[in-house]
Amino acid sequence: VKILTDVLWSALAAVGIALTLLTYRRSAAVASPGALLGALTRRPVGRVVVLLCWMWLGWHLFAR
Amino acid sequence: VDPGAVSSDRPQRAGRRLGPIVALVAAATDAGILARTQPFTIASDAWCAVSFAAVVLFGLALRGRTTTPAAGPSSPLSARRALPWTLWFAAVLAFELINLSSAPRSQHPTLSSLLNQVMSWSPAKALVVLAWLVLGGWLVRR
Repeated sequence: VKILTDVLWSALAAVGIALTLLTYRRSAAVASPGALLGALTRRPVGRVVVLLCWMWLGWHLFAR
Repeated sequence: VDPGAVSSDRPQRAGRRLGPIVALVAAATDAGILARTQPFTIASDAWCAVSFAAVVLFGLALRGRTTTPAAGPSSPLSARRALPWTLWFAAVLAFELINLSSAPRSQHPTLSSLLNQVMSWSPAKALVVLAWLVLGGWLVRR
């Protein structure tokens, strides 16, 4: 089970890296992570939600 | 060119250059301190709160003083271009929830348990904290 879990996490990480690399192509069919975050934070409500997610992430990783 | 205008512009330009450097040094110091705290302690809670406040204040202070590349109208985000990331995020979220509801954690590691193994070495934890602070600063400045 552990090996299967590790393989799946590695595959998901590899796909994430591949998608990021694809965004560097001139005729990229994939939006960059920055463009995605930009779209999410265009409205004030989106900005507050993303900032709260960022705060929760830090608290969860470093304090809990 | 009016020499007076040039000289009065100089402190502003210096501030524009120094601002990000000061913010980065402060973030590195903050990362070093937060990386040395133990989770589930008042110190880690308090230092996280200090980090939140510092990032928001620094971000707001630097906002508009430095130039950030804006997303131009020539490249609007279409649903088609966002679809691969949406599918990827859904897959990560689904797998995270499956692992979270499974036991034991050693057999079904979640993202945070995997990251905890990396962060057991404090320099690595400091780098993760620094990346988190830089991301927060970037979000606040938008």
